Amino acid sequence: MRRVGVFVCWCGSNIAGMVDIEQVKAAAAKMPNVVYVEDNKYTCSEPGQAAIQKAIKEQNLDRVVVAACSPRMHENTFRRTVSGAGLNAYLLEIANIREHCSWVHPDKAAGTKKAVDLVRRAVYKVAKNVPLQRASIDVTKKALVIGGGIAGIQAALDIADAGQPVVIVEKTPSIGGHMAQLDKTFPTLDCSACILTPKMVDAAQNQNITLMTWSEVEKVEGYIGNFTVTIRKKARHIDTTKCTGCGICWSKCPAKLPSEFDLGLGQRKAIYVPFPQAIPNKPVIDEKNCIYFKTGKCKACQIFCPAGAIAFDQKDELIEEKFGAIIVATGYEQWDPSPYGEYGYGRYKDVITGLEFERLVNASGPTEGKIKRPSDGKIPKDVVIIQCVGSRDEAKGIPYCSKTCCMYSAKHAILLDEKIHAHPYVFYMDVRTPGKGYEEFYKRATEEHHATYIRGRVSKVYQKGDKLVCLGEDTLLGKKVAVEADMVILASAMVHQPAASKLAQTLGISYDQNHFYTEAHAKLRPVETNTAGIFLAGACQGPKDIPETVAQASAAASKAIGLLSKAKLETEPLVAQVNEGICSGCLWCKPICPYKAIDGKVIKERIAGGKTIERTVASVNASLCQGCGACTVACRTGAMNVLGFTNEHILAEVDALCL
Amino acid sequence: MALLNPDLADQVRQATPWSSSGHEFNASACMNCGVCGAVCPMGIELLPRKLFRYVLLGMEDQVKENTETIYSCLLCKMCEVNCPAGVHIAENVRSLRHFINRQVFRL
Ligand SMILES: Cc1cc2nc3c(=O)[nH]c(=O)nc-3n(C[C@H](O)[C@H](O)[C@H](O)COP(=O)(O)OP(=O)(O)OC[C@H]3O[C@@H](n4cnc5c(N)ncnc54)[C@H](O)[C@@H]3O)c2cc1C
Ligand code: SF4
Ligand code: SF4
Repeated sequence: MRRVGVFVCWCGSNIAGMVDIEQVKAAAAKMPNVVYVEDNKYTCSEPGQAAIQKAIKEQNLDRVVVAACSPRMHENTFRRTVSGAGLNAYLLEIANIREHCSWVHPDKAAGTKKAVDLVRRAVYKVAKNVPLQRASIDVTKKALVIGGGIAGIQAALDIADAGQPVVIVEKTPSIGGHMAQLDKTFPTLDCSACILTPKMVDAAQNQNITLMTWSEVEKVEGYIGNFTVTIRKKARHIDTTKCTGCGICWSKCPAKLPSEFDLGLGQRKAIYVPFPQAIPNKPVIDEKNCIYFKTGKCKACQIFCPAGAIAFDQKDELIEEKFGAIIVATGYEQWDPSPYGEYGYGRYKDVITGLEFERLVNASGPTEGKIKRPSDGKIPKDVVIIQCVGSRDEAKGIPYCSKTCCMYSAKHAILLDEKIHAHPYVFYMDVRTPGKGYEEFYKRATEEHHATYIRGRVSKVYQKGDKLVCLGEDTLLGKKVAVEADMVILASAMVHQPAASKLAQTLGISYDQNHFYTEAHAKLRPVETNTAGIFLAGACQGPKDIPETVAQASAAASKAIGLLSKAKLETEPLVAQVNEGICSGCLWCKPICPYKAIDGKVIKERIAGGKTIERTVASVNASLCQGCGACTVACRTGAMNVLGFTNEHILAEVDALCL
Repeated sequence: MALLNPDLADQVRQATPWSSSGHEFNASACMNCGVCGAVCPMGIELLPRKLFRYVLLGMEDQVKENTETIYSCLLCKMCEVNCPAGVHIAENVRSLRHFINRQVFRL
């Protein structure tokens, strides 16, 4: 005979409004093993919890059922409550009579009946519960940051400042990300490089930070506190210990190619650093386009390199390292607006994207900061900026608002006036400027820089002589309008990295329908993923500007620091357990386990006649197991059980509901 | 000044024989970007943006006054393929024609 106490919560009127608490109490009092029933207006409040503890002691309860909200809300609260009164934390069951009941039923009688059923289920199950103990595991005191944009750099600096070692893995030859490509930054118009490069240098010089550029994460195994990560360090073909970054090699290299950093508007060599302030300031050789790699002849770089740093025979290296926490900061890409045939991107050279414009205004860009149009190098006089290209357009595939375009379009309008006295026309559907100093910045574009804002969407861009005619409607006037422009800038959407989903699979984290990584809770856990120990920072989680990116990066860093500063981590005891006596060793469960937690092991066994035999049985690594239960369903002999959710528990619940 | 009447959109919806097929009058997603008017080969400025607004706000007189315009639409769907909000513009115009047939022509 157990001594079960049932505590029914009103949750104010959230539960009590649709469930008759008295009826639930009366029904609970008649259930097997129940010796005590009580109701509270708010069971999770301090008096509510104190009432449970008091009852445990006075009524000598050995099991507790709380009929309240979802266990996702307060399971941990009530586990602490019962253990505070001396009971094992796992001798508690929650009946969710709010989300599963009062909130979804319009009919009080039916709601009450269901609440009684859910309480009975919990009472039957709790009777089978046994005390479970949490184990503890060690934490590897090192963090991995994937992506070296401003998000990754900020997160790494914060972790390093807290005294923990960090590795940044960046796939391109330099850290910096998109911020390095920008010219000025809204809302203050300070130069992007001037505020970014000091942080890049800090990251390079910080004793606690290891930069691994031209590298990618290949494999991730393990779990919170103990990830084992395989990193591919791509062959740079440079001995970085010898290279001084003098630049002779790239000045001599005869192979010219479009520069990715300048978005094809400028050129680079086959041996290159992507931009002058790159960190590390050591080149890479682009194997696919190097004349020596293609034909076996050239080696100009090697001949001229005064340091003897060129290493054609360098190979990719696979490095395996252990980490306690991972921060994903892989950023975004600007959307290719080619699907808008009507805007002529790709067909007309002077129709460019916002990011391309950033390179045109940038002093380190292909035009050395002079705003010239790509087709003929003329300085444009009238420039049309089109907002929401791709964004907020379900027909073209992007339902969301990219959040930054209104602001960077205002910035482009200001720069056009300030630098070349060109007249900006901005076609918009809405101007969204929620941010500190943002509305004022937009006002500055219109008032001080006389940008003409036209409320409407451009329907077509076509060439007339050397002009680009943009047709649209001024919806405020209800009149069709046409602007003859010299250049058109498309404020194209911010989209996910092309390989975002692949990395998500490698890491075992989830992503949304737009391939942005999903946070554990949209409001309350915005930088955590659903995989413990992996955190998110920056635009990989959704479009955001630099201030928001940096804030999120520091938040992710503080989560990682909190984790790394723990001596030990407690593990959930709700893991799979093998009954070796009946396990047949078929290992059917092994490939089914999504966490690679199951392996075979050989045990010795005495059989009838005194002989000892060896046989294989399944064995669960409790630190890897997440208690998902896939193996228990797969096991043919019923040897696999998740503690706290054994087959016996489930059958008790079925009995409670169906008998 | 126009007195708003939220029932008009419902009346238009009910006027269509296919009102339960999921294609009934629905222009609530319109962002008033104006691309529809800008691409319209008939140059119908009223269509569909303003007209839909008259319906949504319940300005019945303006809707009825524009019977000619509602019938000059080619249903070519140029507007519809360019609409970023995915409004089924041509279906909406067809719904309106049913409404006009009943209310104005008493068909
Ligand atoms: C045209 C334009 C103008 C803008 N102007 C402004 C402005 O004025 N002010 C402002 O506040 N914001 C502006 N923004 C927004 C700003 O660019 C972003 O907020 C910021 O760059 C986001 O930083 P991030 O580190 O999250 O991403 P990113 O800058 O994209 O950095 C991500 C990094 O991760 C690397 N990476 C990607 N995948 C992997 C992988 N699998 N493995 C390893 N590394 C990987 C990338 O190479 C990159 O270095 C602008 C955006 C655009 C498009
Ligand atoms: S060997 Fe390759 S990288 Fe070196 S100079 Fe020649 S083309 Fe350039
Ligand atoms: S194109 Fe679509 S969203 Fe734009 S005004 Fe027309 S109906 Fe509204």
